[in-house]
Amino acid sequence: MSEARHADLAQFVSRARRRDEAAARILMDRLYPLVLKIVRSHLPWRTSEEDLVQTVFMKVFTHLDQYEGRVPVEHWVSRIAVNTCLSALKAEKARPELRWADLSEEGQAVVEGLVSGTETDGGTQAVAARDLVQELLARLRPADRLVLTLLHLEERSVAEVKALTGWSEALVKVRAFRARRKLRKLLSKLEPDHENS
Amino acid sequence: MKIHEERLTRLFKAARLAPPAHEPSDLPGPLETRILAQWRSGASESRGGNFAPVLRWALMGAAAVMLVSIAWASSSPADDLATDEIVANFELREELMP
Repeated sequence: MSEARHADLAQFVSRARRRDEAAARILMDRLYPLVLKIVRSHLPWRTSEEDLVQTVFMKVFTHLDQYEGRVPVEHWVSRIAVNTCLSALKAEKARPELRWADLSEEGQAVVEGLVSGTETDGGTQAVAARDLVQELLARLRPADRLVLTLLHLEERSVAEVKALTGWSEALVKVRAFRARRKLRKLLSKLEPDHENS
Repeated sequence: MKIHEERLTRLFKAARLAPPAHEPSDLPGPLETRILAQWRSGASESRGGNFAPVLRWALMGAAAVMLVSIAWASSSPADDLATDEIVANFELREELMP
């Protein structure tokens, strides 16, 4: 079933190469959920989701001739989408350091919960935790942010991250290790006892 | 350090519990139109873009001719001598003539 789908998509790719608009439309319709999911996970601050989706599709269509069919179309498009997001993140201005006073009430409750060892429930606290993680990740370098999002939020394997980014396995591991260390430092600065000291 | 690592792990775990913001839906019509329009304009640009290499070569040729001309003009002492001779002759004539 999956192979049939890949063959099907590859067929639309070859038709789109010959400037077949109907095939291009079908490709966009099929790939949109995948592209949107990636864009939403790595969307830079103050960047329009639609603009980034458009950029990804334009890159896909511009490079259709480079698709050799060795990997499924979805993998090829995912890699383009991830690298487009990475470029957009690089263009983003650095954000000021996050402080306790910048956190929402829910965010402060999450930090307090972490310090006191209270378990987070799956409701609003989880949403606040996700927002806090996004705020912290936004303070990291784009590549660091990307690798932590892929590994720890999307729970992808090192091999998957390697395939998506084109980095070596060693680079993925080293980047993740260093990024995690930076994130740990940022989180520790947010803790109330650190703020008071 | 260990305690901070543990807190970070718990934070990620809690963040993963959050429900997805909104499931991806169908591609919005206006966005599809925008992408296709950009694709079409890109195609027409690439069809008309065959002149770019010609223009590039023409520009490089013109620059080369200009550089050769400058070099030739600055390294022709014979011309300078001829000009000096004309000037000297003129000055002599002016001096000798009443």
